[in-house]
Amino acid sequence: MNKIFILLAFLFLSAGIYAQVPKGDLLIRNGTVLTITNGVLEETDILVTDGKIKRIGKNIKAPSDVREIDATGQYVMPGIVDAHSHIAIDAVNEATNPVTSEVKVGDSVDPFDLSIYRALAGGVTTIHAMHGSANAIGGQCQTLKLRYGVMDPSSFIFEGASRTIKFALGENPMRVHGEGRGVQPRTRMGVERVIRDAFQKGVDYKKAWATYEEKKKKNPSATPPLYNERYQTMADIIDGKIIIQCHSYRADEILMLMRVLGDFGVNRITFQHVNEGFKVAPELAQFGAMASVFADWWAYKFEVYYSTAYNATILTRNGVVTSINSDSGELIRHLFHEASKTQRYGDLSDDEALSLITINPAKQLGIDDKVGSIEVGKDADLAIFKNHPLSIYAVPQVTVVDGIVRFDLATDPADMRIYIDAEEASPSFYGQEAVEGCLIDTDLMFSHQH
Amino acid sequence: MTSDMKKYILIFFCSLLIPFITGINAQQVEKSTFGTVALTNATVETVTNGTLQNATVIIRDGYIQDVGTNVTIPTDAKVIDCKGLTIYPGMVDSGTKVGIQEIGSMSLTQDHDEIGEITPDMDALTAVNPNSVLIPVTRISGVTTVITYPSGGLFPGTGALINLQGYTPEQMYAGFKPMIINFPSSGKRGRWDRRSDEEIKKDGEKAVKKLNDVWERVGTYASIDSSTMGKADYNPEMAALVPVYRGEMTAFIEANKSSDILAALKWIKENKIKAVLTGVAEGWRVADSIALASIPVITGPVLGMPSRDTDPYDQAYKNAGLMQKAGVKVALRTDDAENSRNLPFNAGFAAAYGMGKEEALKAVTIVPAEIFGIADEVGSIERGKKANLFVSTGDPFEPSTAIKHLFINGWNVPIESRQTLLYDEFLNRDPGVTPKAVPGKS
Amino acid sequence: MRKLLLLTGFVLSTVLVAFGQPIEENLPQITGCIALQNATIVAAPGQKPTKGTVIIRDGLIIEIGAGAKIPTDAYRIKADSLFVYPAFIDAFSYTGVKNPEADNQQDRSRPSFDEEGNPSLEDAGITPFTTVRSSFDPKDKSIAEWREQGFAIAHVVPYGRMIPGMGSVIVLSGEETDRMLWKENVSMFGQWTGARGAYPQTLIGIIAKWRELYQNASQLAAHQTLYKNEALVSRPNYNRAHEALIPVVKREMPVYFKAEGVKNISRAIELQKDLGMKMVISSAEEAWYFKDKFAAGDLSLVLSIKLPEDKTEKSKSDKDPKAADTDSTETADSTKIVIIDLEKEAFEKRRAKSMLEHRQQAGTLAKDGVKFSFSTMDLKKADFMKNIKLMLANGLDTTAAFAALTTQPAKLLGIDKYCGTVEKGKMANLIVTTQPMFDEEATIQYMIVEGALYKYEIKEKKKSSGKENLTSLSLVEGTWTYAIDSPDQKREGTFNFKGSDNNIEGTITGEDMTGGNEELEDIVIDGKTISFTFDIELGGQMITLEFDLKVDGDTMDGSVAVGEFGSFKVTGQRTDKPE
Repeated sequence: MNKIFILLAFLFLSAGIYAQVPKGDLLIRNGTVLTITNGVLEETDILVTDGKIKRIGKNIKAPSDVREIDATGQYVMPGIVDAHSHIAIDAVNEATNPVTSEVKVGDSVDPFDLSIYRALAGGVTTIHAMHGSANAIGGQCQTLKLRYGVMDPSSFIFEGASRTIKFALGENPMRVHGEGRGVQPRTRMGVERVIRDAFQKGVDYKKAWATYEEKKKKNPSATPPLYNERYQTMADIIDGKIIIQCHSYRADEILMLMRVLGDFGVNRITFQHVNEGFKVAPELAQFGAMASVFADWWAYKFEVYYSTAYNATILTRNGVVTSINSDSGELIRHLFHEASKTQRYGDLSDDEALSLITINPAKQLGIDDKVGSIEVGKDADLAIFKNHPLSIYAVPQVTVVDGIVRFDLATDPADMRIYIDAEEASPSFYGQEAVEGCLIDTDLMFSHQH
Repeated sequence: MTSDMKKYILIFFCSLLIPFITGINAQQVEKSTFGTVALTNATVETVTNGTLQNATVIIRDGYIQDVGTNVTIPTDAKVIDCKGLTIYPGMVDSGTKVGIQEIGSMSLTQDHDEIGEITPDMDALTAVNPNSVLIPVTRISGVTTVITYPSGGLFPGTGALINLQGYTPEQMYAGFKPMIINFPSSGKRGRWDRRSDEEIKKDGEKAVKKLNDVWERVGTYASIDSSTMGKADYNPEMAALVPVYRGEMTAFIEANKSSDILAALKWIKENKIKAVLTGVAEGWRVADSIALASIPVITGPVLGMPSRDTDPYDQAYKNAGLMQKAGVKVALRTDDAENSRNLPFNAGFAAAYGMGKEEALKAVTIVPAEIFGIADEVGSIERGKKANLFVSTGDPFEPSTAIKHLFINGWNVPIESRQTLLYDEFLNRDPGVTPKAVPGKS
Repeated sequence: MRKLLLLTGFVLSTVLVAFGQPIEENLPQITGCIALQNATIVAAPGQKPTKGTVIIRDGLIIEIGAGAKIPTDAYRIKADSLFVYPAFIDAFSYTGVKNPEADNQQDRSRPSFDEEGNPSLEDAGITPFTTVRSSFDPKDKSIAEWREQGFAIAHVVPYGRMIPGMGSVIVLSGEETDRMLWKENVSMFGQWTGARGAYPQTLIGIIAKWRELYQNASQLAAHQTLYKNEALVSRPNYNRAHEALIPVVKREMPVYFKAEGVKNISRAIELQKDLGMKMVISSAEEAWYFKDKFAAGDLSLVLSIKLPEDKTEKSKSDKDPKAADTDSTETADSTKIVIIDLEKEAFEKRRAKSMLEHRQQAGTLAKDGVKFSFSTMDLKKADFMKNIKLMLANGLDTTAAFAALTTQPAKLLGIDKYCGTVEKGKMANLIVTTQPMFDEEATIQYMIVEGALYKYEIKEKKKSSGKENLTSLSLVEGTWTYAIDSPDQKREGTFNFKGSDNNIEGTITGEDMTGGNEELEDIVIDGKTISFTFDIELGGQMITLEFDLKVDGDTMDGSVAVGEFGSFKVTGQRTDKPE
């Protein structure tokens, strides 16, 4: 029992609301280092200073007060990056309008979400917390570092990550708005219309403000246009300030969006799920679009019936920067295993397979200069495994974020809750289902529809 | 036209059709073949008799005619050299919706949840679609046999053990049907369940009362039915439950919360039922009680969430191993439909988290065969058993392992599904990008 | 007689009467002058009690002291054994305010949207222009209820959603709205409650909307100045919500942001940091996490008096301890039991710690020098003194508790010149108790609210006989057919009621109620009306149907509220009645 309190005490030492983002020093000894970008280094040490990777090499000396982790016989890989998640936020869908580009899920970060710890225990250090897929243009997403134990929600924000926004095509916006609310879109044609309208509004809005700024030079009392964050955000997308992250499945709708984006001069996009991406892989590659896919999910609804688990391989072989994501509080705990499935469904090499959950998602989120590989100067976000992470027998041992150990199997207590409900008389039984998903908060009665 | 050309045209034609085919049609291009086959130079994981090196397996008339290192190869046998490869018995997923569910969000493609609380006369085998697209996708992972079962209510119906090959449900049927009972739960149904503890308790008590009421009626029905006075009135629900009441038919009793498991054990004992516990998410909390009662367990998915916030993150991974170590007979299930193909990975996780490879392999082969009472037919590679087996490049739990050959009921089944066909078609798409049709450049 | 014994009448007519309930009596005031003779006076939090006489005239305290001369026309109260305190000020509540949503459930239609899919300001719950006046009811029973607990003044806000409207300070005495609304529109009320089926529904929508409203209100404020000064400026295109928020943007009007739990508080603080309004974190239940924030004085704080309910205490007193949790029963060997118990022990230890933290909140904050006031919002009146005493038992000192109920809210609301202490010239808002305020035995004998005197007598009431209940069962007993008018179709089925006087049982059948008979819950009969609830599972969601029906012989009619979907008309007919 003591273990619990020791670890919690440690966590709360670094807690205190509105504290600085904690960073640590660390020396990881003698591991097999899977750098991703620079091959495999046997029996190698990694020195971490102030949250950054300072040195990679053999027999590194460190000050005596620096904590050492012996990784002999173990594998060290970069912390896993999940490009599609809905954990760690309290609001997922503002499903009351087909376009809600102004809302930000980053405003609802939940530092107490136990799923964060469970993801850490699967080697994940960074997630892309996304708005859901209820709206054709959903809200802005937030890249987070899994600093579980820190109480201040803003301390989870991944500094310097690109702004991203959720788009969604196909069944979900059609169901929520067309079927559920009786407004466009009810078809894939309508989805295109809604998106085009929003972009046009962005163009007009940008113009209105430019005109005002111009007028103001001559007439200081010119009238400014009404402030509208929804269309300001659309203008920001047009200006290339935001990467689109588009929930999509069918080949036709993927092509549609690329056409629309082409018309508005937008080119930064990652297609999410994109189960039929394999059908249009050459088009995706040519456009420069990236893809974030499931390893093997399919048949949970009609638009994913014609899927193949070989999707990631086909996309990769066609030159599309591809990642594998979880979209689930359960799956996020074993993304390393999800990546390994590409060795059954297509023969990706170890580096290619591991790239799907490290450097590739980092590229998609605009953080590949900071995480996604083990390189000097990058953030010390690391995951240590017993057995190769692509083996079914891989077991995560230690997960490090910014040089701070946030998960350690050796001292892992059962009860990792931070917030305690004083009214919960005994631990509730919930069954084994994960709760996160794309249609949370839509108030419609579907489960398991991502 | 040469036969090769014919074949090519056929493949081409079929692949054109693929996008338009729904689950009604088979998308098999290559047919399964039946005949005498000799798998030579193989490593054989017999499961029941250890590992044989450089061995031969003879398949004839649907059965394993011989297995060993000193085996005569019949002259009519098609020889498949398995040098460097390993033969495993076909894996059994002890709980799925394969064959009775096609698309998750479309209720009209689902045949597992009939209206009514008490519908024990619903027979899953009736609704098994032999041409489900899910079937080839599942079997080429080495899962040759699954239990498929109905859901919903107290008595949703009977499940069926099916082999994942055949043109009719009867051809697929593998000789075992369990009665499904959802034991009343005293836990939340999920995180969305807003019932108070009081309400949950009350609902649970109500459901137990209902279960016992039904059982009393079954008892009455059974005694009338067996009396000399003649047959009881037409009552398909009661008639379906009589064999369970008499201990002639196995009941799968779903219970997950520790207190529900204990209550189920008590109920099983009191009513002298031949039972298997299914789900058993918190079996690890009461593993000794389960072992003491000698009730076998089907648990899974292994890749699941801990059932309580206070549980360790890996509790679901460890559950199967903890029960097995406590002396419980444990088989595994995915409780999935389209991704029942992940059974070997579920077994791999159970192996890594305490169960060990050997026991995990048993939990998806011989143990379910024993639980279903058909261990003389399936579950291992032994002379005289049904030829349900696969040949792989190694450990089937490892994702990097490839399945090379597959035999179900002696049929040599091609390693092919709609997913592999799509791969073949789209890996190097031809034509690739048409210069004029570049999206975004219109 | 100027005032009727209104509340007394109300209490008598209610069936549910507890023992020892004080009976309030608004004494006839012949003179407008009251003398509390020779009382023990605690003039302000932390002050030593002094013996003296308090003279009140025309709503004000005109004299205090041992030698105060009693006017000849004074109504004299011999207060030798009594204690006089300043009356409480409620920093944040709904006292006297009607909830319009609760009243016309049936009128709730789906919101309408403009071309861009935006709802009206009302449907969006953005009504900063709404005043308390529009939903204030001087006869609302909450006024007397909280006065009985010692409150004379309250800062009250209208009901609503994201921005319900402006708060006003009321006096808890009087009959006319004009008289009782003392200071109107002193604050803006914000909360994390989204609109129903319209934008903004979730917390992320609310935050985005705040940003936009704030920006536009700022633009409007700047523009109004220009519009006044310059001739050639086009008329700005803003709405009344922007207009109403101008005082907030100018920091002339504080936003009372209702934020109870730790996450809601932290989000409100973030919003304040982002936009820069004056903010009062209100109804806070977990503010100790942020004590540094309040110590620095950026924000003001109003604490809730609500405390979490200790459910383990309840189960401990259960007759059958085994029934509380059956997890550990009947395990095969004893070692297992030990392990499970350890697990429970650890769980309970953490839960108890959390409980303690909640109870210690006020004490902890006070020790750290954080100034706070108390709010009764969403509090059951029976919990008021009980919870204050729990806080006192957990580290809060009486001076800080007293201050949070008097001088602190007075300062926060800017009325400390007029009330909050017992001083000459201040409003005559007094509590007169039989024992020192927070003593176990203390009861309120008199309340004086702006000079109006209320007397409380402890009267033993007879428990009502079972006669009322006997008629309740016969009111509904038997089988009924019902029809629910829902938009898509008429749903029909039957109810059945049986049981005994004290325990009426009911069941429902219907086409959508899968599995035949289902039990009805929370059956309450009140006069001629019956209400009950029934849970159904719809595609993975539990939805509670709340029936509210009026019975007239063998027919009934009324409504059923179906979760968020609205409320539908129900009619019923008795088809079978047992003899």
